[in-house]
Amino acid sequence: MTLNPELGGAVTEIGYLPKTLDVSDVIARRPEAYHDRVRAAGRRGKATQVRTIHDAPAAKEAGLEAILAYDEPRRASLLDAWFDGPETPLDPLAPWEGARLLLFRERLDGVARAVEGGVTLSLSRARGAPGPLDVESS
Amino acid sequence: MRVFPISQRLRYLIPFGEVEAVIEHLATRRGRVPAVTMVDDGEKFGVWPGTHAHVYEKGWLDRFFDRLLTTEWLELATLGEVADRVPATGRVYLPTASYREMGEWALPPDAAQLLERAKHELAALPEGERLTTLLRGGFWRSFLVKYPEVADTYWKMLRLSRAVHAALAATPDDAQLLAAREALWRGQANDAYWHGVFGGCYLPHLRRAVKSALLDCEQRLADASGGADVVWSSEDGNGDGRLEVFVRTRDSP
Repeated sequence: MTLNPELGGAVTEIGYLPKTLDVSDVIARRPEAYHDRVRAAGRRGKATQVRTIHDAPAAKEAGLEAILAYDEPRRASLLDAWFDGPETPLDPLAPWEGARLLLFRERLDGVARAVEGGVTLSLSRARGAPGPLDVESS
Repeated sequence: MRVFPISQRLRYLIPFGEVEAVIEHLATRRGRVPAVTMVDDGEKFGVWPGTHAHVYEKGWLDRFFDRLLTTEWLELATLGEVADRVPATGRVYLPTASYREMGEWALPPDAAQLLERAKHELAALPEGERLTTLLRGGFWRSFLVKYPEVADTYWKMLRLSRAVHAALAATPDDAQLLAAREALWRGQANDAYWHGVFGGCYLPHLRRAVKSALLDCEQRLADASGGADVVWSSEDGNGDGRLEVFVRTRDSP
């Protein structure tokens, strides 16, 4: 298991060894130069065929430009943020814009220590850091 | 060490050009170079979209082989045969490099677009096509910057590699360690460590295969070392200048 105190305590690997499976295996969608050609192909309104690895790829099917999207921050487990009020509906994929505090942007102080059968990681936000709250978690 | 430069022209022509165009290209090289090298991805011959129909159903591959065999001045040889028979044409020192497109894909998107523009503008000049061959793009490891998830896998692979080789140095014949090394090698398959245009690290089955092999390696290494029920460290284990906490526990019965 990989924990990242300096990414707000995010967990980026949960490897289940008996099944050799990383159950946290996710990847963020990021911009690439060729996406502009996908958008341009969408504007022209037709799909083009990709024939070789050397070809400039446009869109292998129509409509891809409409679902080009990017993730910020990277995807991980235990990405924490502070939101106002339960009445605010959150986008389950991209809720971050309306947050008052994004803990995953912060380098939390992390202290790890061995306990019976595992490890405890205590995370704390520097006292006086800007924002509405202090944070201590483990 | 002997180096064979792959012909980019042949990579494009085979199998996407006319068979006759391949022969015509080889004819232009005849007598000017001792050999022309063709090495390429097997996927072109049936796996990539449309290639099965093109290569097999429409008979491109049959025509190609027939034409190779009936072209009397053309001799087919393996790299080994050429290395045995033909003296080296010269000396070469290579930077870290891959094919040209890989360098373009490795760049951050803004830089890749600039490079594309530069190539386009250069190509319009007299001799422009030749000049563009000097534009190389970026360094492969930039993929690890663009995709931190990939960097995490890459650095896990490096940590395991160091641990496996250190353990093997102490007990070279340990069967569990040798199996761990094989798993490590499986975890070094390149496809999930980069993204060009056809998926790469975005394809979950490619990532899963690599990560599964690395976890297999980790498990075997842990078994071989006996060790404690809980192993952990707090260090910068992925080269990003930040501390990570790595924990491994034993499976509960």
